[in-house]
Amino acid sequence: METVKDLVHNPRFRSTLSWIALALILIGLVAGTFHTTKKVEYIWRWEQIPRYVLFKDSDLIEAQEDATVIALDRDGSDTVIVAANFLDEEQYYTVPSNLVTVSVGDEIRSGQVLAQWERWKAGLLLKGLILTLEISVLAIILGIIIGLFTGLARLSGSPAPKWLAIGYIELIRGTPLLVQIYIFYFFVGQVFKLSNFMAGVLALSVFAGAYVAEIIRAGIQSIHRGQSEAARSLGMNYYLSMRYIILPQAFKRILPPLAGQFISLIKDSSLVGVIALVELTRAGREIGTSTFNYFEVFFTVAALYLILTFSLSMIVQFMERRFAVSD
Amino acid sequence: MIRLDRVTKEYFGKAAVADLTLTVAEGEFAILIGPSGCGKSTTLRMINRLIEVTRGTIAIDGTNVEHYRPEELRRRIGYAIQNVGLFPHMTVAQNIAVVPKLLRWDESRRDRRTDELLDLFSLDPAEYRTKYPHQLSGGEAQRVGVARALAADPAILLMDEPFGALDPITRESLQIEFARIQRELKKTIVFVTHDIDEAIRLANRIVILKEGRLVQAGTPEAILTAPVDRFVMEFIGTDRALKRLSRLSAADFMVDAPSIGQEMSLSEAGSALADHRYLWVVDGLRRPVGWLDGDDLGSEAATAAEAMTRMDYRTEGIAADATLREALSRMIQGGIRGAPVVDEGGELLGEIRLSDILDA
Ligand SMILES: Nc1ncnc2c1ncn2[C@@H]1O[C@H](COP(=O)(O)OP(=O)(O)O)[C@@H](O)[C@H]1O
Ligand SMILES: [Mg+2]
Repeated sequence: METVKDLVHNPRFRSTLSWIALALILIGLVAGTFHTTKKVEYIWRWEQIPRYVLFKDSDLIEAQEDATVIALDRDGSDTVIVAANFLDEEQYYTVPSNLVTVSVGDEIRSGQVLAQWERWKAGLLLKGLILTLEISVLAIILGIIIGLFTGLARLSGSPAPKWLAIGYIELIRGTPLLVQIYIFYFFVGQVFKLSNFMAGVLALSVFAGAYVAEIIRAGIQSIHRGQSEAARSLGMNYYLSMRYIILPQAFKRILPPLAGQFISLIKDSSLVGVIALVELTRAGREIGTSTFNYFEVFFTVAALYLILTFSLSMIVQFMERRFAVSD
Repeated sequence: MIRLDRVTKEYFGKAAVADLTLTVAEGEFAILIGPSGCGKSTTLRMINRLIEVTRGTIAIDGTNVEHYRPEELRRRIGYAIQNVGLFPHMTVAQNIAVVPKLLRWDESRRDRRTDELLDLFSLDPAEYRTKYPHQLSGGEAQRVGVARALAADPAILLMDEPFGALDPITRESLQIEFARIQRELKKTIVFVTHDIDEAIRLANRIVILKEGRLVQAGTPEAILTAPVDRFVMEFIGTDRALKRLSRLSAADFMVDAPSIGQEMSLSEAGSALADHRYLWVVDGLRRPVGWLDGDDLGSEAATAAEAMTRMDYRTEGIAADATLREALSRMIQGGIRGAPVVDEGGELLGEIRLSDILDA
């Protein structure tokens, strides 16, 4: 009896028990998923997926007519083969320079293979991933800039910047992002002649900016008042005290909520699919509609988003550790 | 020289400082004192324009402070506050060098100045330069705070209860240290406190405020001997006589101390004792290790060291820069009429007698 009681209260035994429980739950989840997918009679075709990430593009250039090569013009990494038929009509064939097999004066016959090559190309999913990454990075950078100035304006003593900042923040936080994207695309985009890409990036930046502003405001307010007073009493102006005293201290506290905000931003970027930007989610949908491999495609899409958000988390954790020196 | 001329500061129509006229001369250590909320900090902060006056003028060396840009003015006036306000993300050296950097001193000059100041405040530069504020004790942080205020060698130093948050022992040692530094630097200082003992210990001139108005200004001695009204009298307390003692140092009242070496034979010591009631017995480094009086001569011992009453100069000796008040309290506690005065190494400098203190 005693030994059982001892065992139950032993912290190492409890911890082991907890790990075992975790393993059982995970196994249960996998088994459950597997079982459900069996029931819906879906044919899994995972082998279809890789080519939407990367695929080997093979290409072949054949001569159209019998002719004589009269020139080879280099054009970047390609070479243009110029050939003339018996009527002196010129034909042009563009091939990669390293694959040129003919030289000036050679006779070529109709149907002859002038060059044949294979190369890796990004599939729709990878293109979508890259576009998502581009949009997110730009929106994060612009969002920080907008957020910093709005946050400072929000804390300003004079009414104009303060109330403009409050108005902007409330407006953005009070309306759905999807609606904002439509407004940027149909209205702002029309007025300023923006591309889809620019409209999407701007909509996301302006959206993120409002949240970043609130995070920065809270970070600055969390720094003791004595700090800005000390800075002022030593002869720093507003800019110097913000730049060298307040913001560096606030930065450490701002970083974690900012990271959360940017992870949301990466995920929210899936909404710009509605303005014909084929980012990751939209790419997934397009592949789905043409192949009906919805299950595999969206599992893959989810995994790709996870790679982006997880990398961002790791970068932020690294930065937090770097800045923790003076604590 | 700082001159405040009929200075008033109002908040929402209520005066925090009212019609204050005050001159602080070059090299003077002026202390503003009064109950909480009487306008001390407000007065101080109007001098470097952290707060603007409502009415009246403040001039430094004859120039109205409003003629300077506030940032420029503040770089020329040192300012130290109670909760220190050190920047936690900067090292001690970076904190001290803030104003020199704003003034664009080159790096080697800044480094030299930082080390010089750390030395002045008895902080080993090699050890403290690279520390962060959270690694400092309260007393060390406060020293760095004052060092930072002094960094660009300003002629004027404003201090708002700089030692207020420290424990009594640290506060006292810092006061003594700062008094020494001020004797060296001779800055014009305006210092705020609500601690009358601190004021009496440090000030050349005490300015007593009440509800934003000046009640009395004068040397500590003048205020202690002739308080103008009941408010001042109550404020300085009933132990005025004792307080005066804290203005005087043991070194000023010390007289020559008769002493003999510890190796001296008892018979020789006996003849030396003929002219004195007692003798201090010192070791090879002239540090008092005991005393000898008539009663000790009767013993069998061969040398003074064996016959004497032992003492420890580290605990029973009085430091030369201690105040008479401290000396008195030590003597009363030990039940003795005289005590040896020693320097930092423990060497006997002289002695101080109870009767002399009572005559002071
Ligand atoms: N920013 C402010 N707004 C309104 N009243 C203030 C402000 N600062 C100080 N006061 C008032 O002015 C008076 C003097 O304050 P202060 O100079 O800080 O006193 P102390 O002598 O304790 O340093 C107090 O009654 C205080 O409430
Ligand atoms: Mg105050």
